[in-house]
Amino acid sequence: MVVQQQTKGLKMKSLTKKKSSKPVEKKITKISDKLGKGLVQTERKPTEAQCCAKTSATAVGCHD
Amino acid sequence: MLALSRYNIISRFETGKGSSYFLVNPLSGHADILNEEEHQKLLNGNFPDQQLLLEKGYLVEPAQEQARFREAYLRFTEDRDKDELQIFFVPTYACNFGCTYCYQSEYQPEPGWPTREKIDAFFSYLDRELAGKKKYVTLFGGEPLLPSKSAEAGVEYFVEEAAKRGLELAVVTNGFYLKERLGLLMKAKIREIQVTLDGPAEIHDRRRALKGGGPTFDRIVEGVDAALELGVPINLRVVVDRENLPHLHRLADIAIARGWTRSAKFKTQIGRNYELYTCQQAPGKLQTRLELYQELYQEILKHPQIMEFHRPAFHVAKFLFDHQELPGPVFDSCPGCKTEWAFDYSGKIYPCTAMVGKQGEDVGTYYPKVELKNDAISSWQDRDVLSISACKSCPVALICGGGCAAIAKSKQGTIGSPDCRPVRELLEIGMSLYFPEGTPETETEKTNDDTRNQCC
Repeated sequence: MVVQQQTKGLKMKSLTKKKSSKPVEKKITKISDKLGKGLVQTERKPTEAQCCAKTSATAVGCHD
Repeated sequence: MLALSRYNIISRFETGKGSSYFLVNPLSGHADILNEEEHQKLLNGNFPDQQLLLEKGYLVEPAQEQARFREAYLRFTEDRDKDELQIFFVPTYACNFGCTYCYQSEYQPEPGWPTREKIDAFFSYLDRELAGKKKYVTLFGGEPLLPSKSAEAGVEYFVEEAAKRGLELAVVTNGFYLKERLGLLMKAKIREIQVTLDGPAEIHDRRRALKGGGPTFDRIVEGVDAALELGVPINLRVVVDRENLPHLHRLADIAIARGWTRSAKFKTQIGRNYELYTCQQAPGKLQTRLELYQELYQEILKHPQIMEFHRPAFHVAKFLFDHQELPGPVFDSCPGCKTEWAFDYSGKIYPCTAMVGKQGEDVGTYYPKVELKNDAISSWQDRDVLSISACKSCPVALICGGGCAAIAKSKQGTIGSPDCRPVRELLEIGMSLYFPEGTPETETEKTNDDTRNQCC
């Protein structure tokens, strides 16, 4: 389940799967006022809902 | 010029063999466990394999990391635009329970149920203003399943209108009338039904009794049994504090014995009992987030069956264990006015369930006409770790996400402030729970062990 990184005496234990290298797609996305320009989109990652409202019917879950 | 990423979260955690260190970077999406030697080398800047650190995003060229941050932020906001919306509808704030910690206890509810006209206005708003968005509706309260003619007729009409539109239905109920109402609710496709049990019967009934007294545990359990038998998903919430946490394992035993935990339709959530507005009869039993999870961890060690009932997230620790990858970075953990809206029977719209019904916190109306307070809505929608000053330089921002806006406003007077989560400390506990083996032995440790095991 965990991948052992054996590199030059390094025994850091990786907890994340090895990713395949995919070509990076260039895409001009919408520009937010808070950010700069010239951005590149890469592969999506799953997000974990931080607030219970997304994963449950919830009451005050996200406030806990 | 290379530097350690500003989003590295490094800390020590206890394992079965002593302690190890975790290194987690929510921006690059990598996580590793290090031993003491590796940890020291990393901190001292003489880690042997710089290329590996670069590949994993632990070592970065700062300008490139900022570009990556911007790209991740845009992706987050774009993904959220396509996210499903959860739309709460509160038909009443009245309730038949007198829970000791209810945050709505000071609300002054108007009697009665919304008229068909108001329910039509609610659905018209969804049809028009949220057209094209993925969404589902959640009946909330108060207690939405109260047994009066107008309440039952109202629920029936609401469920029919939801079903007509193909909207999935969730219900948050105290569960007292669940068994009787299942048939009615199942006229729509049920997403899930959330009920609360605070422990075994004598503990639960002390905290969640009927108004005027009277037990509620048995009726709720009957409702859960009936729902699961019919294949209706149940989300069982436990509101926890110092009074009932020591009894959580007994509730776990009950759920296991009844077969709930073997059902794919059963899930659980732990809710921390905390002070929201003025709702606590006994503030001395409250715990901070960290205290709750520290004590929960100790309970799990004493009573491992709790994990069959509930596996706490400890931020990203459980996800990492289950998926061998990190979730995407969280630039905003508050769904208010973004992927969550709350409507009540008075015709008002609110940002979320913590704010619904609170005077002065509405962001518009859907009845008698649609009027939106755009400035208020914008302030909720703009809130994230980029707009909250304290979050901009915080290394755990991309896991914390800025916390709850309602709590932030309650404590600091503005939603533009953070509701900080003890991310590092909770990860320390979570890593101990989900990765108790820590790092593999080093070559030095192996040699010493071999020596010790030799016959003399």
